[in-house]
Amino acid sequence: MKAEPLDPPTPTARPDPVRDLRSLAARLLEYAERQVEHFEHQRGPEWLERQLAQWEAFIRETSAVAGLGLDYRGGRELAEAKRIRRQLQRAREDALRPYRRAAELWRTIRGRLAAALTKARGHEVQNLKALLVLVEELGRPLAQADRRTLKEARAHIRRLEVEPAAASRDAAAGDRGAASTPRLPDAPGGDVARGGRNGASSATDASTSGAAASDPDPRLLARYLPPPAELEFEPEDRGMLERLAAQRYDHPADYRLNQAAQRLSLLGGFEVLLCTPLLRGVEQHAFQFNTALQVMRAMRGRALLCDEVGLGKTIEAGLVLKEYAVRGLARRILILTPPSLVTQWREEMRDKFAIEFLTLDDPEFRRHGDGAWEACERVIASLHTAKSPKNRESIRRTAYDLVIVDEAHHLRNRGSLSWKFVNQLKSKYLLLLTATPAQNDLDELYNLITLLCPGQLKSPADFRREFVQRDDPRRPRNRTKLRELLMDVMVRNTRSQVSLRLPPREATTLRVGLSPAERSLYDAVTRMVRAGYPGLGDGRLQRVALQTLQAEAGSSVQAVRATLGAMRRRPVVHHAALLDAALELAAGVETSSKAMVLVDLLRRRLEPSEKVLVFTQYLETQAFLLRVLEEAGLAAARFNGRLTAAERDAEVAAFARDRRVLVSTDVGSEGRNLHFCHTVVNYDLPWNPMRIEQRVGRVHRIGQTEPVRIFNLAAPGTLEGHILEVLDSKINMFELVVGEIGEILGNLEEEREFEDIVLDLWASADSDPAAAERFAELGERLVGARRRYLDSRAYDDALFGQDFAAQE
Amino acid sequence: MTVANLEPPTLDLPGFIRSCVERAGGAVDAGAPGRLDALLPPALEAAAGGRSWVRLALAADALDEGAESAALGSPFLDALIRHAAGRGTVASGCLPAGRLKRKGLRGEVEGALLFSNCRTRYPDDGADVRLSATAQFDFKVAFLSEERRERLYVVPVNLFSNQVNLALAGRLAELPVEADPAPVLPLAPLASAQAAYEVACRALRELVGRDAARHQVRVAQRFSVEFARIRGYYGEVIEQLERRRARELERAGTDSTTGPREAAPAGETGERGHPDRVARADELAQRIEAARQERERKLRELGETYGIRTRARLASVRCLWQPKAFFKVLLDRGAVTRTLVLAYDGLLERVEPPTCESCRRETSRLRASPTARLLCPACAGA
Repeated sequence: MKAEPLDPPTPTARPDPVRDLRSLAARLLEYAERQVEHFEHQRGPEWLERQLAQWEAFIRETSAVAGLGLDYRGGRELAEAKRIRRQLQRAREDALRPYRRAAELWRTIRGRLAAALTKARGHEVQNLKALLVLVEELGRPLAQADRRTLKEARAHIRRLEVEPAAASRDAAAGDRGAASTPRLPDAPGGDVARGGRNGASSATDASTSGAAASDPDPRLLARYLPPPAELEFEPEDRGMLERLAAQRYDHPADYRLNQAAQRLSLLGGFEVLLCTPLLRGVEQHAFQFNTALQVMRAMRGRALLCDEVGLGKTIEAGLVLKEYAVRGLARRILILTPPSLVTQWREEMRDKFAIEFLTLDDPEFRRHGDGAWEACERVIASLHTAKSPKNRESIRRTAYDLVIVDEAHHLRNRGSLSWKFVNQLKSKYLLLLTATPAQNDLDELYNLITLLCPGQLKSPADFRREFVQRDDPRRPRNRTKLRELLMDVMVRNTRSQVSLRLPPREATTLRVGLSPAERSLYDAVTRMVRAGYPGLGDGRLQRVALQTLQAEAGSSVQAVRATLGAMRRRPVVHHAALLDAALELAAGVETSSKAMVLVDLLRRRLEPSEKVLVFTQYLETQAFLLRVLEEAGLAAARFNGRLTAAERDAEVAAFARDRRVLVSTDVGSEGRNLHFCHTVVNYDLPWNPMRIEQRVGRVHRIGQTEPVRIFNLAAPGTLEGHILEVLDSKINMFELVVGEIGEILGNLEEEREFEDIVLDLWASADSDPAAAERFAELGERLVGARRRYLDSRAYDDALFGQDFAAQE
Repeated sequence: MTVANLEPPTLDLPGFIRSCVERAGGAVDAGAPGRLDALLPPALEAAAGGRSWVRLALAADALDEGAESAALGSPFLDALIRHAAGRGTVASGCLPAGRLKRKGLRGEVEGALLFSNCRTRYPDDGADVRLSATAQFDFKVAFLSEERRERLYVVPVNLFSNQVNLALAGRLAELPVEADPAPVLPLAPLASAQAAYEVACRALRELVGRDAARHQVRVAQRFSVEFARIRGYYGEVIEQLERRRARELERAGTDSTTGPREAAPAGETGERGHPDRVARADELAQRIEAARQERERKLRELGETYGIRTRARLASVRCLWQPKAFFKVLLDRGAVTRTLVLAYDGLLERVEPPTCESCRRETSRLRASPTARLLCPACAGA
């Protein structure tokens, strides 16, 4: 081992061989530290680094334009560049290997020294002797004065061994000395090792030295990793043995098929995904499958999935979940999401992955009372609800196979209750999903990674020292090493890499002037909602009923009339006067201004050959529209959740063939191939922006080649009008990239669902100007949320670039 | 013991589907490339959602709206596999007699077995041919750690000796097993199915134990990396907290060796140090303890994740009939004479080794005890 001599020892006031020995060991430790750093920071030959940098730059630039469409030659060049880069990286690895080994050697020395020095803070002769032996062993770089120190220490320790009494005297003297003498700088551990922990409790004590941890004691490993458990036999098939004894045999052909079936059903490693044939309506993208395989194979089920928005992190997580479920590795599953996404997750898991989850509102979940978390195997809950005092202890007690946290950027703060809660969950596999893992600084990224793999990025202090620029917590240093460490736990696919580009979207709002009769009805319904709204009015009407009523009033008179009628027929009628007035007004509405605008749109503003997908939330409105369109001579097909599968197929086929319009409710058309249509009309507007996004997503998806046009019908002064104002005018929602609206809503820092927010705003306002004012405030909040999202996105793009795509 | 396939199968999937459907009474016709048209019997209709006719796509590119996926993992194939795995669980077959000897077996015995402490005599010149049997137990074993792998183990147990037939196990896969009824011959004495099953379970336990130990070596490598990472991380965190605590206590003028509670009672801190610092040190001590507990918990969870569990299920069993030659050997030890019945296996062309009367293991070296018990060297030595 070649090394520079150490700095000369600091003269001490009074000879104390033990203290000098410790001081020497501390300096040796510092020296080892420097050596580690020295060897770790070695670079490859200059020409190699230069060439590598050039190829990296070429690949980066070429990859950036890849999404715009590389021609064949361009693709070949990119592939060739990557091949050369791999070769160069291997050459660099070869060149750096001796340095890496040297660094490893010094790390080991550092670890041993740190551990020995920590133990030798006490006065046990054995520990002092061990330290002496170690220092002697490493003694080559010592100066002459150090050798004297060693000699004196050796003599002193020998004396202590012979005269144990002297040891205790010296120990006392040492303590007094320690009180009056300044502690050695940078001596690891300090006096803390004396806090009553001794060698006997070695298992955990040894781990106070991080360096020592790099080579764990096999006994320690054995303590935590149990030996293979005894083979368990599933309850034996008595019947089989009895039939064997009685010589009652099956046909040999059946036996052969049985053997084939047994072989076919064997589960091996994660070379292929077994779940793919079980998916329903999932557009199959190679990068998503590669991500799932990488998460299971290389990351062993603990990963940070931070694809750019709209690339399908939910699908990737679903693939992992389904694959683990198919293989019998995940039975107990918990999905934590923001409140607004609970329903969406549940629907996606059911519709696309055929896995049923319970939510906290389910009667099945409630039926189990306090033991629900233990009793229910698959649950989706909002993080907010899960971490509440009522639930968190039950969840902590439950051992999950898989936990998925969506919008995991809410866990960026290590001091937050959310972070601590997730950190305490017991789970074999953990997936964190976010498009923006780092927003303000690198610590946030560190905190997320630490949830997955504590220590992957070292301790907080080491991380900052090694990977964060001192003057700027947002800027990383040692990028290459940081990237290598992150690649073990993180996947980030970008649009440019996966060539997932969609045509633009263009939204138009058609403002519908309501007739006086329609306006009167709408106002009457609004009065009723405000009067009965819980917490605001007398609260005698259920929130969900009011929400439905107000939304129906924004849709069609047919829809609202049906609900008002149903409410009137109930045994107990609240706000009967208001209800009767609304019913009377509903009966008086004869025409529909919105329907006229829709017909006008179809007849005059759009090309006669243009297929149009019209969305409404309500069956009554759908039926009404179909009548109106028929009367107007416009051929229309229909789609709703009440149709059988065959009827749905027939209606979609008719739309593709010869019907110009498809009037659809929000239910059930996901995954249908509607690429031939690129015009969407929102006849009424769901209050949840994610639902609007889903509607547009039916035609704005892979395979769509035309720009997508979206027409929104809304009357000024209605709740829908205000929603449209904040979503369209303020944040340009309809022209955002798919998925971005979810990110923006996530940045709203709001526990309520969006529809609850808007209903609260609407119901609590006593006039339209007041409502407008409140919606304007909401718009400003959304603008702020969008700005925060864009900042995060820009930061993450700069931080991660294209380096973390799933491997093929 | 043979171990069949270790990795996901590359079996003839269309052949399996066709055989399954036809065996159940349906019919299969090859349609367009990558497709099969199947007329399903009632027993299999449930596999296709109640339909009796189904078009099957064997690969993703053969899928269209009218075709049902029949790839591995698809509901249809899963149902078919379940159907097939639920049948044909008990079967029989005949192994060929091979080069069965009836004469000159003395030479075979003397070449293969070694008797000590006794004299051997061969009372009969020839041997009787009898029908012997081997029970072939097919076990499906799952290895569960942070992943799940499955293997099939085939354990043949010789029902005459009630021993695992290691020699046959090695050749079973290549031997022709006829479905014809066994020839009419006198039966050799056979162990019960239950006894043979217990022997098979013991052997499987040993074999799986060895495989699990090998698997454990691989798992331990991964585990140790994770373990070191977690331990190192918490070690560093604790060390830094301890350093901070020591500093706080030092500045507060108290001895850091004292525990948090006895460090400085609130009323006395004015004399000994700054109360805020002591409080901070106290808080740090709690955080240190919390970090220790968290480390312990994470390490335990890691161990639980990586710890290997193995589970076996008897998937099927088959009785393999085989004619063998049986003959007697008389063993004289002092005044006592013992009769040993040995079997000659014409297929493996060998005399089947007898079992030690103490440990019940097969042995080719037998030693007669003073009471004329026949023991293997290990038991005789003991």
